[in-house]
Amino acid sequence: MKNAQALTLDATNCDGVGMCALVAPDMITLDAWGFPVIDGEAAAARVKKARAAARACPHRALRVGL
Amino acid sequence: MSIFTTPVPIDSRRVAVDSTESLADHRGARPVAIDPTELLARISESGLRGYGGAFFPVARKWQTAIDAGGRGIVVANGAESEPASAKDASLLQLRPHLVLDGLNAAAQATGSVQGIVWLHRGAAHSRVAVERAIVERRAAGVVDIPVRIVEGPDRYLSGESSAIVRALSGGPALPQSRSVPAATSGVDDRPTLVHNVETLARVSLATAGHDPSRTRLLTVTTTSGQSVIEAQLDDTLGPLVSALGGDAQAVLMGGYGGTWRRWDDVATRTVGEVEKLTSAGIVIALPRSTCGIAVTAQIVQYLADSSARQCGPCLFGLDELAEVMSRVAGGRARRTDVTRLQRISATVSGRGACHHPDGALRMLGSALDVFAADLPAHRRRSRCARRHDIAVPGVEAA
Repeated sequence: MKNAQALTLDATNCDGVGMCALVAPDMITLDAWGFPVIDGEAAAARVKKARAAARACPHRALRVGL
Repeated sequence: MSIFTTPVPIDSRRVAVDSTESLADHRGARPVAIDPTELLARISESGLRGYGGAFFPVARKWQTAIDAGGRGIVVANGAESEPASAKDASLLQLRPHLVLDGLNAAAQATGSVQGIVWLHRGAAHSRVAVERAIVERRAAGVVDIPVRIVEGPDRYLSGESSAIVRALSGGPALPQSRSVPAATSGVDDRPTLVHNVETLARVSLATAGHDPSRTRLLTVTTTSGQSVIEAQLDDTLGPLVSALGGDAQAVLMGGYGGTWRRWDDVATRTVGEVEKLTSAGIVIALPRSTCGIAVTAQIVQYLADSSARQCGPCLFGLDELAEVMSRVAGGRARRTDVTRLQRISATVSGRGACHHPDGALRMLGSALDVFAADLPAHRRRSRCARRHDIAVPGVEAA
C-alpha cells in the first residue's frame, strides 16, 4: 500500500531541472542524468518540506499524496 | 474448444485474408442473451486472465468498471508491438468474429456502450478483416454495440494500455502516469476496459461455456521463420520448438522485454509451466551458431530507440546501456562493463511511467546471466566464434 503522504513524481513531466533537490536535499537526490530519486520515508516524515519541494518544480511533476 | 482449427504458419504477420472465417462459418461461440450478472459470474469462475502479458484477472477488471458506473468503453487492443509476436494479427485475420463476440460480451457484462478496435496504422490486413466482419454482422442483423476501428502510430509503445487511453482521449499515443485504473476512469474519464484481442476471443469461448484457458497461442521464432501455434498447456516446449526448425542454445521468453533462459532449462517444461514467462506468448529460439551477446545488444538498441523519450531515466539509461552493449558486442568489452551495466540498470529500475525500461532491464539482466560464458570472448585480443551477422525481427541486421 502506498503511503498517502508520499511524495510522488510523474516522470513524464520531469525535465530534470533539479529545483526539488535544491529545496529538499535530505529527501531528494539527483541521479547521474540529473533526475530526482525520492526517499519516500524521508518525504513521509517531513510533509511540509515535501510540499515545498513539489511547489519548487516548474513542471508540476511532483505531488504530495496520491 | 480451440481458437484455431489448424496450426497457422504465418509469414511476417500476413495471413491470407480469404482465409478469414465468415460469420456464417463462425463456430457459434456467441452467448445467447445471458444476463450481465451471469456473464460476469462465468468469467469469474473460469479464472480467465489477460493475454497481453500482464495476466490480470478479467473479472476483476470488469467489476472495477461496473463499480465505476458502467456506460464505458471496451477497447480490443490489437496493436501488437512486439516484432516477435504475430498471434494477435493471426487471430484478427482468421477469426475476427470471435474477438468481436468477446468485445460485445465484455460490454454486455459491464454495461459499456462503445467498442473500439485499436490497431497499428500499418496493420492493413487486420483492419480489412475486422472491417469486413463488422459489415457482415451489421448485414446479418447481429445486435452489437457500436464498434469503431482506431489506428495508432506504428510505434512499439502504441500498444501500451495507458498510451491507448491517452490517444483515445485526444492526446498523443504515449504512456502516461496513472493514479486511477483505466477501468475506473479512462478515455474521457469514462470506465475503460483495455483488453488484448486474444483475451476477448477467450471471453467469448468462456461465455459459450467452454474452458477458455485450455490452450495458449504462441508465436515461435526460429531460424526458419515465425509461426503462430495453438499449444495445449501440457505440451512440452522442446518438441514444439524443434518441430518448427533447428536447434537452440537459449530462448528469449516473453519478447524483447522478456527473459532469456538456457534451452536445457526450459526444453523439458510444459507450456503451462512456462506460461507466465512467455508473457504474451512469445518464444524466440536462439540457434547455437549465433551470439547471444550480439543479439541482446541489438535488442537493447531497439528498445532504447523505442523509448517514448518522456522519462529521463528511460531515455538516458537505455541509451547508455545500448552504447555499452554495442561496444561489448563489437569485441571491445572491458572487465568493468558488467558492473557498469548493473549499476545503470539499478538506477533506471522502476522509474519510468510505464514498464518499458523495466522490460529492457529484465532482458539484459537475464542475458548477462545466460550468456556469461560468452563475455570473455568479447574482450580485446579475443574473438567470439559465434555469428554476429544475424537479423533480429524488427531490427536491421548489424
